[in-house]
Amino acid sequence: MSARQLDTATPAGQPSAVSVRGLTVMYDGQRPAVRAVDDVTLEIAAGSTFVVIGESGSGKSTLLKAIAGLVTPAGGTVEVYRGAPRPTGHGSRPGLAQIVFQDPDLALNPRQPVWKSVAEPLVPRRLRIPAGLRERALELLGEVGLGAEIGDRKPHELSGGQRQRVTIARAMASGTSLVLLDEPVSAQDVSLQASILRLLTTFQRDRSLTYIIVSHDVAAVGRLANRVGVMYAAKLVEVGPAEEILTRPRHPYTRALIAAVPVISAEPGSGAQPVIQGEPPDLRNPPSGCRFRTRCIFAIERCATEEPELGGASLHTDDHKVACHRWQEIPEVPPARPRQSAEDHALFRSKTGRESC
Amino acid sequence: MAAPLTQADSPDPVLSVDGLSLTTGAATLLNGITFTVDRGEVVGLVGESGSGKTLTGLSVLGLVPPGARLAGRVTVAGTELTTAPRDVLRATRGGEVSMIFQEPRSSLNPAAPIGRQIADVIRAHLDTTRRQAAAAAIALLGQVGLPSPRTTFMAYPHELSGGMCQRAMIAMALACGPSLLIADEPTTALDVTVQAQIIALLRSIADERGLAVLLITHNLAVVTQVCDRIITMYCGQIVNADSTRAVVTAPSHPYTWALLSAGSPQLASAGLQDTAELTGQPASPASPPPGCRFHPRCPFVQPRCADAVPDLVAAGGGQTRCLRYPELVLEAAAR
Repeated sequence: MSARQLDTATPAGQPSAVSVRGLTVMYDGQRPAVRAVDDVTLEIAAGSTFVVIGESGSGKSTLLKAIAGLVTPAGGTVEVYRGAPRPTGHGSRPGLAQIVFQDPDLALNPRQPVWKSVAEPLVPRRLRIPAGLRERALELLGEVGLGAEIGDRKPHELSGGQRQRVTIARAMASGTSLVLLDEPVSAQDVSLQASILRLLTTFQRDRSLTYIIVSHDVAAVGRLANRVGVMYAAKLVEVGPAEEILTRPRHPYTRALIAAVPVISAEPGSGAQPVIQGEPPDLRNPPSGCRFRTRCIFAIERCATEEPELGGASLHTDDHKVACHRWQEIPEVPPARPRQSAEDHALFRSKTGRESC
Repeated sequence: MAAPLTQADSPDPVLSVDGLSLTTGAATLLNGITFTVDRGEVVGLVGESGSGKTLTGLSVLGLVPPGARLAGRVTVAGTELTTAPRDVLRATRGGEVSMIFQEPRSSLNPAAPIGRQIADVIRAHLDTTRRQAAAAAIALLGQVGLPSPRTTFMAYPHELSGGMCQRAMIAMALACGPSLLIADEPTTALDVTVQAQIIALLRSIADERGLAVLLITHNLAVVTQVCDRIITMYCGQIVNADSTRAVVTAPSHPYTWALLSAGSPQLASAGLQDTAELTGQPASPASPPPGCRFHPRCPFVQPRCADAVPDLVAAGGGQTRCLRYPELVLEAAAR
């Protein structure tokens, strides 16, 4: 079984920031043990944004933790490079990868002024004087758009958006080139989402950062992505360039996931058709063969007996891969996606009364 | 100019909120909120955090922060609630009016089986035996689409997924045959796939049972998919109310326009530059800006917007609170 499906999609000449090979993570506190990430292989190019989408429990956050070195893999390797390729083996040394956790309310010490939280990653880097630490922390807070007066406040005195900015400032503090973000904008107002995403884009451009973003909401983060990976029940089921995955998804699960994203619609009730029924499988006892077959409208007998492997999926580009036996038979346009939104937008534009005053 | 603002089209709305204001100390958190929800109608209440949409939902049930003063009238199915005595309010909550919340797991008792929690609600409001209440609870669990109602009846909240817990919450909300369901961010904590299932469930409940639903959320896309009408709140005031079709095709308030533009998901990696801006922080109802409360963030602002507080006036089939409404033609979802 050494012939793993390598996602060797990093275009030639572009150095890797992260190589994940056959990564498996087990949580064995429960009996039987749960394989939270099962044989995932990924190559992430330096300076790019890789977005992992999937439902709760699909293993996407665990994948992120494994890359950050916060959980020990049961199998496979994670290599994180910095600048010139430099493998680090399992886990990673502090500062190599920084993680921005899902809930900024829980990610900050409630009893510390936030500048101390931001300064924390600086401490092991032997920055000598505490006063210098504070100044550097306030500088970082300034870079995420928070004034110096914010630095002395405690997390509960900040709004949700401000707290999220603090966690981003902290991730940037160590000067890392790899930032892992777990659901960075999912629970926020749309106006706030846009400003956080803009901030992330600016940092990426100025510091040539590599982002790995995990989210269940492809609408929120999709437009940042260069490449997208789709996880279902601990497996990577589809991976490829963002444009390909988001406009021509080939795996039935990816289609359902993208079709489930609500779009602005002028017809109440029009889009409210659930496109995928049921719940993800119990990972203690995953279905045989393809794990999605229990919810898949295209499932046939072969899907129950033979596990699909990641393989080439597109005529347009050969780094789009999908793990499905039937992807070639299924029509390319996702059946359930409400397409009227594009027309609506055209409508808006045609009746534009531009500001003329 | 205050009287003709009610939606006079329906003679007998399930929920009628008239001039509702909520003050704590010097801050007016809700300011003259007036709207109705009819039988079988799903009305969306949208706005950013702090706009007062959740507070409006809670105020309908008299669930206001300690020390807050509530003025105005809230009528549910003919019963006036703001002046109602405690026992009437108690019977109304969970009886005539139900509410579901964002995080279903924290709304459920972790130490009791789901079914018992639903049966408890039934027994608290209706005169039934334990056995009848249990049978009703199992039936409800089936009606909200839980696959094996009998197993779920015995299950504890931690044994169910978030989506299943939210379905159980909806079953509990429906237990006493309410005429109004207030759903506060019911899908925000759920996966998009489950979100689609839950909003479809809410819509079908409204259609089949004639239930009036007030859906409170910051997600414009969800609202446009299930709601008949959309009410936009900003800084403790209603700034815009209209049918979904009108709001989506020709929003009559710049704030609604901005929310719609920011909320249009662009799936392709189109970059960020084409997203419409909604810059700045929402105004605080505790210290609202002078004049139109949205004017500091409004892309169409003029000097006079800072002087006069605009009234909520009729606009097309709905209402808007914008001085420039007659001259502005808003292009939704700018690119």
